Amino acid sequence: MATATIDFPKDEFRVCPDTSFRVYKRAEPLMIVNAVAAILCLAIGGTAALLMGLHKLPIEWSPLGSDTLLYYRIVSIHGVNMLILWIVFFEVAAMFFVSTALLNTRLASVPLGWVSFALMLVGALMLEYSLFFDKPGGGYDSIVMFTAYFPLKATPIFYLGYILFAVGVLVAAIVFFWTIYLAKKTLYADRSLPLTVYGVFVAVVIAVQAILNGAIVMVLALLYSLDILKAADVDADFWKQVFWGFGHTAQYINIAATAAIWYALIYLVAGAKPMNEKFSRFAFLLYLIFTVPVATHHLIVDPAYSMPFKLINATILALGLAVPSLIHAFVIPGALEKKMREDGKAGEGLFGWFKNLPWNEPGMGALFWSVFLFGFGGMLGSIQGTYQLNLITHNTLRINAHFHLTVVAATTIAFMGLSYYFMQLIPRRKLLSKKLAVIQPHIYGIGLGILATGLFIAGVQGAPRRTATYENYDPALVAQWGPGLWLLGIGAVIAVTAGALYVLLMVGTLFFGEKLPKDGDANAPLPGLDDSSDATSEETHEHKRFEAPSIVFIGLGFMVIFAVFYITTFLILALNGWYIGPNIPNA
Amino acid sequence: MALIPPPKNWWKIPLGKDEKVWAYVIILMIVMMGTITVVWVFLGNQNPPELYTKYNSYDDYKNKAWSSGSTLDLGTLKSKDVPALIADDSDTEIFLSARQFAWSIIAPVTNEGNIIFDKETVQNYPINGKTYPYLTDVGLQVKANTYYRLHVYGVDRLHGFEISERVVAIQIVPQYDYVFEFMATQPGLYQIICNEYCGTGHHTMTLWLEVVE
Repeated sequence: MATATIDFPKDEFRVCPDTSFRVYKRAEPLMIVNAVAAILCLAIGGTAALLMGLHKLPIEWSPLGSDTLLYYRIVSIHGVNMLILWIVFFEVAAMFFVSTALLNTRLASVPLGWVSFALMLVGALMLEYSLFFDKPGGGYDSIVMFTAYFPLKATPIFYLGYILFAVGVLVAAIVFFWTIYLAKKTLYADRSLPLTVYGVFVAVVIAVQAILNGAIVMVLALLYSLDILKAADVDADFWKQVFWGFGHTAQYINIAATAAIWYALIYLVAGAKPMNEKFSRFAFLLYLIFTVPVATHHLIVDPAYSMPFKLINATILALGLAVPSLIHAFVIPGALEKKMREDGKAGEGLFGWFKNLPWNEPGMGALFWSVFLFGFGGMLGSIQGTYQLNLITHNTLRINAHFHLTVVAATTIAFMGLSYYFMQLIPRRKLLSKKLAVIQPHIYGIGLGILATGLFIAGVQGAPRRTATYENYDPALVAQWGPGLWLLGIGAVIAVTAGALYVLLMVGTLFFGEKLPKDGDANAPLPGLDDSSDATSEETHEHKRFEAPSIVFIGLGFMVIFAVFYITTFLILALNGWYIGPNIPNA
Repeated sequence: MALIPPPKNWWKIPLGKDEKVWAYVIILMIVMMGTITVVWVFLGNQNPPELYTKYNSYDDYKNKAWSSGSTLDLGTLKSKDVPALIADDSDTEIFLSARQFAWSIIAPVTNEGNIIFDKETVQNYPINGKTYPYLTDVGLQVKANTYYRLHVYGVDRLHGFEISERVVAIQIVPQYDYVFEFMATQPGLYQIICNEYCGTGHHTMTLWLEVVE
């Protein structure tokens, strides 16, 4: 047995008193610095979010005044900080965490880990400098948004920052794979990786693909920014396609990581395990296959590609991406219900178990809002990605409704939920206030729900995204957007308040939280690696009854809503009345 | 127990009834969505435009526009005192371009010859005996129930061509002439706005679109 021969020297490893995992001490500071960098970027992006939300309110006053340039700057700061810096720094922290602590393994190379952090930090600082201080002029557009579509021209420092940051992530990915390899060679030679580690592994494979795409576009853009290439040398739609090969593929890093964290959270809050390993692992694998063509859905109403290319890649294959997400979003609540029923906490009626969930755990509220809002975000995404429906959704605020529900609601809330446990497991600090931590995800989720509703309503009425002011537009038209914009602003304020609470709780806990003991019983068995680890015959026996009947019921209800929503959107397109595209009668 | 390894023979644990039902429901849903979209491509009346041409330069595109045979008229919109170019049912090809930060109409115009008409050039043309100041908003008038091929060429950056209130949008890409084939059925006054960030004056790109009987 491999476990017996593994030695955990006391100066390198500590035994976690709560979980008995062997934690490699030299990896801990790496996790903490990445997590702190992530939270700082979240604070910057959140401040920007507050300013944007207030600016969008349909009233005369705005914190930005009538400075449209400042608005575009704030949007760019918000986009890059939230979508790239906060999420990727956090994911790198999670990579180091799951590959070492959850696998009882030493980090393959601590120096390389620091090299990766240094590169990412320098890259991030360059990006921030460009976002905060670069001005348009001298041939540069400079305020170029997160979606810095070629031939928009930023200063070289912007692209260099991106490239350094990406190289840093690539180095971290190498350290991650190497660590997994070490674990597979020793402790895990005859065992499969834990599901959470497997999920993060899939996320990192997707990340490598995203980074390679990102390298192509950022290097091209850098050469353009340095005047080595001219605008006409690069096809703008080729650039856009490859950019989304980075930009949207990166979102599937987030989703795979989010799902992996959901599986960790159901265990941490309720001790629940996935309904079926096969089902969940298969779902993760689908992300790997179907992310390849997904970028194309950003080009459905672009000129450069043919109908079959766009239809097949952007819609048919991209619909395949809904499959794993639907599986995870079903299995997570299903596993909770199953566990509650097994524990005799079924309560009264079909939904009695729901009340008995451990709502006094910070991870519980995070799980609920993360999965719940993700369902709607996915719905909107499938609609926008549909070949024809993109005509009435492209670049309206509906798009923002979609990704605020997926990447902000699902990913960010899940990350927040996990980090409350991370604080107690790695820096070993007791949360300053568990009560506030329990409430925080609920406030954040409600705020985002309102925000996304507002974005959706205004978007359906045609309000464009990334637009500083609507004063040049038909006042009658803009007046219609009022209710949506009000909801947007109010939701943003609520969500940012909860976001600030999160940042304060995290930073406060890290510095002032009560210290918890670091070392546990050195003789405790390695979690999950004992010999008698075959599935019991009870488990391999096929069940005839529903184990999570209420989630099946809710799932069917969700699908009915989804189908009605989808078909209704087609009806809206048709009732629009105008004929558009190749099939025009009497043309 | 996603934090620890699964049982050694995890693949032998069969799918439960819940998971099977859910898998079938997912497949049904995906097939339904896929079928609707594919059928709509062939039978639906609203699909993304498919015609496009890539040009080496803006000049090539302008020459194409001026030799298209569609001759527009100078005038004003019916419902608003906005200088506009008027297309009737014989002008099936209309040429637009998008640049930082204006929509321009490129056409041979009765009595004026080949012109580029936008909010900056509008002062060059007296319309109904009146001149309009530099940077006045301009418009385009088309007929309802008439088939048009509205070409839109991207001059410098990506732009978004959105007919607001109807909420229809396509992407305009540098060097590409993307042909928005359409037939408007409801008369009314609409606004074409830019819905892709194209630089710091992005929000000022507007063009009125009036559909008349």
